Amino acid sequence: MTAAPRLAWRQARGAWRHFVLLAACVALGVAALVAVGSFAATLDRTLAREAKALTGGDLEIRAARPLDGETAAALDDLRARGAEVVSVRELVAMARSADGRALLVELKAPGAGYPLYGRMQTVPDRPLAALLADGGAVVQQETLERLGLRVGDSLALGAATFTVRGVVEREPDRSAGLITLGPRVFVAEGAIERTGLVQIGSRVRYRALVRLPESLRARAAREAVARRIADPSVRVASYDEAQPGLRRFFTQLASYLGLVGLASLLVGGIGVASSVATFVRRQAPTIAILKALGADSRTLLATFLWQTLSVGVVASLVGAALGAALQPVLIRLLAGFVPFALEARAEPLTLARGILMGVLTTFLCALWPLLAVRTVRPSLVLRRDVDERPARGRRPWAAALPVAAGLAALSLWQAGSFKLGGIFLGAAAGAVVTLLALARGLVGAARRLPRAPSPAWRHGLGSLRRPGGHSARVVVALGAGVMLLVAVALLQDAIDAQIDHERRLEAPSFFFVDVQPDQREAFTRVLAGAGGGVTPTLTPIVRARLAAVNGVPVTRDLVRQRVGEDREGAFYYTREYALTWSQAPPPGNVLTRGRWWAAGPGPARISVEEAMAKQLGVDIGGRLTFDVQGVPLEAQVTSLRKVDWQSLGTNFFVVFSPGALDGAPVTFVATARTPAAAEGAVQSAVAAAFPNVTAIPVRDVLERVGAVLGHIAVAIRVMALFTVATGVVVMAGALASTRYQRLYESVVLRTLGATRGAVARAFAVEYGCLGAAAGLGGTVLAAVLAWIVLRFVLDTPWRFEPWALLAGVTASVVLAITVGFLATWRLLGEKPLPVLRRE
Amino acid sequence: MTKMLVSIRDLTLRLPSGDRMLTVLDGVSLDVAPGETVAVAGPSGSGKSTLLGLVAGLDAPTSGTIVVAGVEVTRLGESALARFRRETLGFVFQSYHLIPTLTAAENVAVPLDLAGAFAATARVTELLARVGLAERGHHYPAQLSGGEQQRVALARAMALDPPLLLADEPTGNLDSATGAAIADRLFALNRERGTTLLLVTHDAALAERADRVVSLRDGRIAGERRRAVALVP
Repeated sequence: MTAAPRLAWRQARGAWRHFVLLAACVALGVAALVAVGSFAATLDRTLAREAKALTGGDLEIRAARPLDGETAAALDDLRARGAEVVSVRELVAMARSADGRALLVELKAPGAGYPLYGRMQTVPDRPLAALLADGGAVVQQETLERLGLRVGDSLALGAATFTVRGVVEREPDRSAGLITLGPRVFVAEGAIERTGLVQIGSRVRYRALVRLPESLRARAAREAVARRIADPSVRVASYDEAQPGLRRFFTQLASYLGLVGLASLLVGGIGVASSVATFVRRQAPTIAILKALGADSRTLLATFLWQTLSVGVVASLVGAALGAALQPVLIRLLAGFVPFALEARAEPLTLARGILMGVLTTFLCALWPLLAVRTVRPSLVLRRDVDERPARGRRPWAAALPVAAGLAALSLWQAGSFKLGGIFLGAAAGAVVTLLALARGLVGAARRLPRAPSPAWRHGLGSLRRPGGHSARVVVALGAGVMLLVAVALLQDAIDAQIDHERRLEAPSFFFVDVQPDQREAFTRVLAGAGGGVTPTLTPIVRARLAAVNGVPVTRDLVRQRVGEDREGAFYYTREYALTWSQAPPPGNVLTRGRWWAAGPGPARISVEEAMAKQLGVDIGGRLTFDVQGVPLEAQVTSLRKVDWQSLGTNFFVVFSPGALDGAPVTFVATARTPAAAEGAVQSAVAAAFPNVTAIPVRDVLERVGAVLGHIAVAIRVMALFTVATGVVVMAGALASTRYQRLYESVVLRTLGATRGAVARAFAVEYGCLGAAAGLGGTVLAAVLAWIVLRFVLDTPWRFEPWALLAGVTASVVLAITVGFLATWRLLGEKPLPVLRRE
Repeated sequence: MTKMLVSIRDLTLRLPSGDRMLTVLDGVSLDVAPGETVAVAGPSGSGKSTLLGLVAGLDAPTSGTIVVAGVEVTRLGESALARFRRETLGFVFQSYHLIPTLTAAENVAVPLDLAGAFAATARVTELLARVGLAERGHHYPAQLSGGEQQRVALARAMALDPPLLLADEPTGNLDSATGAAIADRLFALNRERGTTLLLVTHDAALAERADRVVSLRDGRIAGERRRAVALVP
């Protein structure tokens, strides 16, 4: 056994050329994995390091209502123990310029001492409090651009006017969501009262940021505060558990990107297997000699495994270095929507993991073809031509099982979850089987087709069934790359179409929030005037929160007991509900259980959205109690509804029977679809006439969503390119494995009078057919993949995109012909005689 | 009767050729005593090389037995066969079969490596010196002449001092002068170290130098001649 590494080293020296393609395949795959892994690690590290700044303090206490009563008492207690507390209020409002332009902004009024952690970066670089004093405002650059303002100009918010004193460049705790409704505007804590925007029913986020003294630990303090505040809608978080949504989002993004990276490593695996198979075939005489000299199969297997693994290790190292070098590129691609600065750094663990992945993939993919070493007969040294038959059944299919299991385990490891890994494996297996079937079909068709009239087609098609199975390898490897690229393009198209406002005729142009009951008539009039006769749809809203489920009060303990730490579950207990009433079921909603109420008076009844009912554990006949500005209101569930949340209308979790909400403080939300050209005028007119009404421009918000998705799509596309690149390398390798045969054929053809051009045309036919098969298979698989993702993950309609499929096939054909010629053009220049003599 | 080093009984090998079976060897029996030199002669296709390969366990016969140095070759498994070849045999081929990616010295070292005899540099140098190639150890096979390559192959075959040396047309690819020199070295080995020599050739002059010449025709033994007079006193 010990002879193996020594022999391997000596032997590999002369055989390094065989390993170049193998190394390229492994290096590309590892580079992809390391680039993604490093990016994920960087995000993780940054989130951990910036946790306090991102949270705003050691603790953050947040609610949709003023932090009074038990919350105020708990905060007083913390102050008494040496903690520093800063209160912050945030709301969405309309900002107006002196010339009447209006813009939806995210308003923030921080108290003295803000920020507790991190640093505000402003221009001019002065303390925030100083800039905000005496009616000052500090805004994001976008606010100035959109309103046509400059520093020093005035800006109206609600009933008050402010002077813009500076521009904010970086705000440490602005990371709550990836998608914002508008740019930031800061005003002083006391000044916000002057706007008149903070009133009953308006959507204000009240935050208390806490810096704890050394003596208090964040987790313990969080527990203590949470125990004192029974109301579960007051969220209490310590810095180390903050931003769970953001963290989850990035973890998911990283794992999807990682799977695309894994796909390129697995395509590289095809290249590994293919290079090793070629290598073993070429080395058969040497293997026979070594066997005749007394080497046993185990030693030889070990020798070649050593060789392959050494190359795998070197290639993985190179790949890891390449991946680490690529990390800044990935960061730049995603920096546009990551709400904090990322710093690229090599993570030893990520590098090690990528290298291990590369080496294991090399091992697993090389093992199967290397087993052929055992079937090489030593008698080859005596008679080469009589007995080329391989010993049958020496490569047991049982050996394929551990190899497949190993590759599956690697995939699960990379995916990080059984579900995601399982889906990936299913998709990969499906893709490989489909592409293999297609390749076999192509070879079969080439065999059965009637004799082509043109010699180029005859020879090109004939080459497809060349022994050695290069067709299958090319189609699978190239097809996998095409599949990923086209799938990303199809998904992006579908999502773009979904958020394309112009195409969605039912989508409103605006949501107007907080229209007061006495403003309804005037509002309708103003809108009609500015929007060219548009009539808004007004829906009544009563803000409330859930107080009890089937008579059981909703407390922090109850929520924890029912849903544990599941934030999505807790959301249904703690969120601020917008209630409405209606005589008829809302259009587009589907009743799934129970019956809608008949006209006429009756007790308070409600229709509940089905996911909410499931989470709260209520069914028909169950009771929900809402707290409407301190007044409890109980109602019986009489129906459950399915709501299409993707429809851009006003959708409700809970709809009351008419009359049940009489007497509660009501505001109205209005929707209207205005011509695109009138949107600016509508926004300005409404903002001028009703400073308290917030106009949310749907097109604008959708564009913000689209921009974020665009960044993600680019990142995924970059990763998919790795797969295509690996596919190209595999193709080059597969063609190289047929090099000698190809050379001999081209020389024979030329000896028989064919021109170089004729031979080149025959090659082109062959490569074009391979590219067409890979392109067709890849795009069809991409369409299936896109359909599955859209249907089951994104819940978005799928549309047939013939041009994307056509582009996929065309690009694949062009790529295949190009790569094919790059790999084989030199054969065309070889002189026939020396080649024939060699044979 | 002395114990035979090689004892072949009723050896038959049939191989598929196209859609029928081709009988390559047909009931061959042959004994070789220790220290003896035996030449197997016959026209091409008579099964000479195949017989040699079967003795080396490179292939399995259809029926019959081969016992070499007390070991029944035909009953050995793959690993045991490899070990048997390593320990009992040296092999010289018509087309040398040096490994093209290894230098001459490394080619000679292969059997030593396989036997686990590391750091055998001195032994390799000595072996190369014995075939007159002490200065050419760092050359690759492609850089050596045919005769030189065959000398390297001979040095490789002697690396572990095997009791039995099998030679398959050792001079077949060489001109007559070079061939004679190689033959001299083969027989010298037999004289000096008592190595038993079983060689296959259709070169009558080479066959004549062996103690015994066995003729094969169509896979059967067609005749056997013993040399009357010892050439070496």
